[in-house]
Amino acid sequence: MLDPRNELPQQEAVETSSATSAADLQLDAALAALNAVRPPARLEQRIHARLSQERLAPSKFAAPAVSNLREAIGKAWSLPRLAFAASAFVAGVATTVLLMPLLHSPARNTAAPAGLAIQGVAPATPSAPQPAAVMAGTQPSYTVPGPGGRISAMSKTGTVAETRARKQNSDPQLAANKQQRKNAEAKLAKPNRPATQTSPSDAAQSQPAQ
Amino acid sequence: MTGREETARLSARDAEHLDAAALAALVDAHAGTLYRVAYSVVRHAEDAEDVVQETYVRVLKHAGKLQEIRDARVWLIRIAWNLSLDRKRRRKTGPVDDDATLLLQQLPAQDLSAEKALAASQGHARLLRMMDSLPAKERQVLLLSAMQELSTVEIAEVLKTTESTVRSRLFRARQRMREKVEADAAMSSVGKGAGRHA
Repeated sequence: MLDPRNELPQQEAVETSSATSAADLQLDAALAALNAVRPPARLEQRIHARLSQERLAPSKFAAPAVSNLREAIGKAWSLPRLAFAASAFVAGVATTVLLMPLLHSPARNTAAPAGLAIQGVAPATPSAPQPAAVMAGTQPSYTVPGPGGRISAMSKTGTVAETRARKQNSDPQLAANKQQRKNAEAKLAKPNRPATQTSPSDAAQSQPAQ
Repeated sequence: MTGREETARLSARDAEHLDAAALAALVDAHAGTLYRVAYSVVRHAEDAEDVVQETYVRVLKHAGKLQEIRDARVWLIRIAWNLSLDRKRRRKTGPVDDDATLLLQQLPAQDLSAEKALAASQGHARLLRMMDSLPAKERQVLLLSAMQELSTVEIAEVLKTTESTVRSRLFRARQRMREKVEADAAMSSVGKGAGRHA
């Protein structure tokens, strides 16, 4: 005996199978329609025409991309252009080689603290004196803007006395004052100058008679 | 002449310089099949024609490989298939032209009246749109199975898969399509019933 839960009513089963077959028929009809599609009348002639066209221009596909690239380079770079490019390259390399020692010269390296050697930094400011420099009595280094806005650094080091002498030499007023002071000192020093030598006559006068 | 015999004949020639006669033979033998394969994917007459032309241009380009090809027909169909998929992918942004009228133009004239023919083509177009909603792999197998010239083994070769996979995909695809068609029929009968009551 059949399980009533699995048993479909006869009418329903017939409808399901008919619906299924109808769906299959529709699908088969649509697929058959795709299969029945007819190509255009002159398809083959067009293909032959296209193929002969392609045969006439074999470089389009016979040559790989590399040769196309070579052709393009050949067209774009004629011999004079290549020569110019090569000479420009050589000149550039030579300039770099010549400038390299200047760029890495010791003077430039000791010029300024690394932080201040920047283009476009404003006016000259004394950098903080290094402790060692202070102890040695040297002046702090200065950075001054050089030509073209580029900071060039120069170090004026030396003793305090040398610096003072330089200053005095450069300032006429100071030099005049110094001269006056020297003269005054000389005047004051003349009367008080002790006799360091005695003449023979003086020595004779002062000598008691025996 | 089968594809294999044809390949053997072509291989005897200098494949590096595939001559015009050999290529013309390939065109005459397979242009129609390739057009149908291309049309089943792109659903656009001009695109399908372009695909067929491009397929033969590729053959000309890779004539040297022809000696390695076992079956020229399957090889051609595979080229056309891949080109069609590429073209469809590119055309996705553009308007879809798989209209019933366009399909009607592509179908051969039958003894049906104009009205019946239009109704039939509308039904086919609706089903093809349903087919587009299938998963890609199942849809591809179903479309290739529509080509009566192709066996299951050849479909497997075109899709680079096994015969059993093709069979199982085809079974699933037909099952899904059946469900869709039934659901569509149920919807249309409900619509008609509602219209009658109104």
